[in-house]
Formats: sequence, structure tokens, C-alpha cells
Amino acid sequence: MSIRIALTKGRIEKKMVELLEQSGINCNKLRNKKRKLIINSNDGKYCFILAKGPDVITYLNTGTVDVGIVGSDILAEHNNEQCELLDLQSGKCQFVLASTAAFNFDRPGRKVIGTKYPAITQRYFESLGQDVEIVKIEGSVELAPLIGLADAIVDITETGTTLRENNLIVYDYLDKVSTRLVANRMALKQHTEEIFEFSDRLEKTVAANSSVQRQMEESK
Amino acid sequence: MHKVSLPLGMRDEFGIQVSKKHQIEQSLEIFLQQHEFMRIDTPILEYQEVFADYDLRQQRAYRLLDNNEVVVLRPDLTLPIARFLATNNFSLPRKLYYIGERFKIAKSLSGKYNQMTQAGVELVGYPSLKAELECFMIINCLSRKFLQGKVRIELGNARFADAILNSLTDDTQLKQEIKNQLYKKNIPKYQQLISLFALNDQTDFLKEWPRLFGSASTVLRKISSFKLPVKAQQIITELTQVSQWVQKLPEQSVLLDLSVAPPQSYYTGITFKGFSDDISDYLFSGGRYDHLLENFQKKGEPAVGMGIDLELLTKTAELNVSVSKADILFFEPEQLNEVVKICQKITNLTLCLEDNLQDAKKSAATRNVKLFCIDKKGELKIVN
Repeated sequence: MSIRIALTKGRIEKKMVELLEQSGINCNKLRNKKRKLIINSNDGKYCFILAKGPDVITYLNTGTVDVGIVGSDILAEHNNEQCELLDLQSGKCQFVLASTAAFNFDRPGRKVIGTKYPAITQRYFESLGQDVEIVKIEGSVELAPLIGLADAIVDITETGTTLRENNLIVYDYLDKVSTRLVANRMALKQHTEEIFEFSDRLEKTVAANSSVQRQMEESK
Repeated sequence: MHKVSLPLGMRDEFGIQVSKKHQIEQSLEIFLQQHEFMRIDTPILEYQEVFADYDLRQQRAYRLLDNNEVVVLRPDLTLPIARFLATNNFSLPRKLYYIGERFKIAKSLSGKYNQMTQAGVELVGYPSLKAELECFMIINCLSRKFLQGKVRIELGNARFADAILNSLTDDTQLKQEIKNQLYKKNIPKYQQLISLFALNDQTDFLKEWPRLFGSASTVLRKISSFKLPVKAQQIITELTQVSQWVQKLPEQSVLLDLSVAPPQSYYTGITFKGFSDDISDYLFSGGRYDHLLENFQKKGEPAVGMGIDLELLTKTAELNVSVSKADILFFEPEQLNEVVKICQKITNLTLCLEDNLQDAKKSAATRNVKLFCIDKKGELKIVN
């Protein structure tokens, strides 16, 4: 029986295909999937299910899939209850608090914060002892302080380019984000060997890539 | 127009599914009564304080106000029984069982239900491991009766993590954090925390710990290569013994998990779960909690309890619920006395409630059953 892997569509999927191939898993079918959403690997060991990040969490929580590959931002926002096996060290970015130059972090009063991640935002401001009003935004979060919807935003950024291009300044750095390998709690009991074999395979590749990257940085 | 939708997390149950659940309930009741378990029903509303040992925030209980006192729809059925035992001068030891509804607010729109039927047993006043063994016997019997013996029993111990961590550090917060990440099996965070003990006697064990689960023989073989603190080794010795006993049950597979969280914080000894390979949750969950009654009275009592997820058991049980197709009896209201006599004699006959014979014939034809009526002598007569 193959293990069912929910893979987050888009950027994570592209990077994961490379990582899987490096780990010796033939991804021809994944590369040539066209509009298919369920793709079996050539050796029949893995069944990839392509889904949006929050849906990967739902599939994991209901036991619909055995394993999920998803960003730690989504895991943190949805209070992940499943087993996080591995940091895949890809899709790296960071949560930031950002706003226009006019924003005064210390001004008295209740701030309005726009974000796609209300739970993370709530926890962050709670840790600072501040009560804020959170406005949930689905996309182009950078707009919120520019059009007067919010005083500031909490969002993820990889290079900061979008923020800079929209004249936004980073006021604080929150948790770092990367792609994670997560297993459903029961599936880990039911398919222990297969899941650990998959995880160990990826871990070796991740470690080798990190080592190469370190060497490159040292030689600069 | 009135609102017609159900609140989130609620559902109606009807037909074969309900019959199947009742059949399992009845079968379970007969089995437990044969083994001298006494049924106990507690109310679904309790004061919030009853669940002080229960993580209400995490479990998201329904809360209501009763004369400004917070009451909750019970999210757990063990604590109300502990409350009952402590306040009703009940002689112990005693074996109890329950079947009832419990309420936990699941994450909204997650496809999970907030009202679930749970059954369970509580063996109170028994310090012997034989109480645990009776629970394993119940799991084994139900597994063979309803699930072709596919349920695997997984053993753990609520004190094992403390037995290891107490030998490493006195830092309570750090110990708690390591336990949290170990139980959640958040490996990156767990590895970060144990890196503090890189040059310790237990380093190799700590690295392997999150993976110390699986078949009893494999886990015991792995653990034998580590030198554990005395208390942890005592727990392993006990688990080895118990797993050998459980393996003596017919068709019973036994697993160990040394990194599993106890089902609730009040557990004090062996914990156990039962699951099969084709379902996505545990069917059975329980363990020993020797101090639970101390929260309600001065004296504690040794006790073992086990919950059975009746919803999941109903869903996965291989059970034929036959829907018998009874013939129908047309009658006139003044024939009610004859109707009673006939129905007492012939059980496979249901009443036809149509007002006239013509409609009764149509009903019989639609249901593809025979139609009977009562003649002037009060005798049963088939209608052609």
C-alpha cells in the first residue's frame, strides 16, 4: 500500500519536486501532472495529493492523508496537532510586523493590524502584553496600511522586496518559516516503517544540501 | 420561517446506523453485566469544577450559566463518576460501566462532531494489575466480536517520561517543554531541546526516544541497549511483564509506545490504547489513575478506566443489521381488540394505517409485502 502525501501546491510543490528527485524519488509524473490532483509515483510507493496549505492540515487532521508537506506558517496558524517530523529547510521566509514610516509602535491606544494569520498575530501581541484589533485579509496584505485599513500588518516575507516596493518598513521580526514534513498521528503508528523511511530519505538530502550551502558561504 | 439548520458539529442519526449502534451497545451491556459491571448514568450537566483536572480550554467544552455558576456539558465521563463515588458513600471495590453522550467543541467546519457517544468501564478500588488485564480482555473480546480481531493494543506508562527527565534536570519548565514536544512528536523542536544534554549518559536514548514505539518485541530490543535510570527501568520491567500477559490473549497483537502522552494528566500508571490499521483514530483509550478521587475526597482509591469510542466502533464494526420486511395488517378501528390478539400471536406483522382498503393495497404493492385484514369472525385473512 502506498503512503498518501498531501503536497502544498505552488511554490512548495516546485521546491519539493527537486528535493524528492534529489532523494531518489522519480517525479516525472508530478512534473507532467497537467491538471491532475492525485499522482502516483512510478514505483507505487507514494500517492501525492496536491492541495492548498490549510487543506493539507484538514486532510492530516481527518486522517485522509498519512503525510503532509506544508509551511510552518500554516502549521502555526492552525495549531498543528499532528507529528512534525522534519524541517525541510526550504521555502524559508519570516513573519514580520511592517507598516509605513508614519507608524508609531509605541503610540497609546489599540492598534489595528491587518493579516492573513490572525492566530499568530494574536499570540505575538499577547506576548508583548498588547491588545490589538485584528482584521483578516486574504491577499495583498501590504495594501492594508497604505489604504488606511490597518495601522500595520503581520505577514511573511522572503526577501523584503514587496514590502520595500510598497514603501513599507519592518518594525519587528517574528518566527522564521520553512517547509515541514508532518505525519498524521495514527498513520505514524500504522505505517511506521514507510513513513520513517520517507522522512529519513529526505533528511539525508536536506543535510547534504545544508552542508553544501555552508561550504559555499564559507568560501565566499 | 424558523431556522432549520443544525448548530455546527451536530447531526441527526437515524435508520440502520442507529440500529447498528444500539446493537453494539446492547451486546456490550450484556457482556459487561455478565462480568458483574454495574451501570452508572450521570447527568450531562455538571459544575465546571468537576473537570478541574481536565483541560477544558483545549477540549473546548460547552459552558452555560446556572444561577451565575458555570456548568458544562460533560466533555468526559470519568470525572463525573469520580464525583459520584466521592459523594455517595459507595462501597468499593466496584466495577462500573457507562454509555452516554459527551460534548467537545471541535474546530468549526472541520468535519468533526461535537456530540459523541462514549462507553467505558471504571474499575475502582483495585490496586492489582489484574484490573488492567480485565480491560485488555474486554478490548480483545470486542475486537474479535466486531472487528475480526484486528485491534492492536498499545501500552505506555504515564510516569515514564518523568522517570527519564527527573534524572536529567531539575528545571521543571524545561522538563515540561521536552515532554510537550515529545508527546506532540514535534521532532525539530524536541531535538533542539535535547541538544542541551549532548554530553549526557542518556544522549543516545534521548535521540531515539520519539521513535520508541511499535511492536513490543522491537521496542524492548531497542531499549535493552540503553542504561536507564532505576525508576524508568522498573517501568520497562513492568511493561515487559504486562505485554507478555496480553500476548496470551487470542489473536492479540501488542505494541509499546514509550513516547506517548497519557490521555489525561490524572493518569498515574500504565496507559493503553486500542486501534486497528484501517481507521483514523483510537477505538479504546485508558489507564490507571490512582489519585483521581483525592480531588473529591481525602482518600485516594486505586482505579483503572477505559473509554470506548462507540461512534467509531459502530462505523467500523462488521455487523449485519437486517431490516426485516414485515407483512401488513389492515384493520377497522373497532377491531382493535382482535388486532392486539393477532399481533401477539404473529410478530412479523405491522399495522397498516391507511384509512381504506384500496390505499392499503397500494401500500402493500409499493412495499412488496402481503396484506392481511380481519374477517367478521375475528380471524386473519389475506387480501388478494
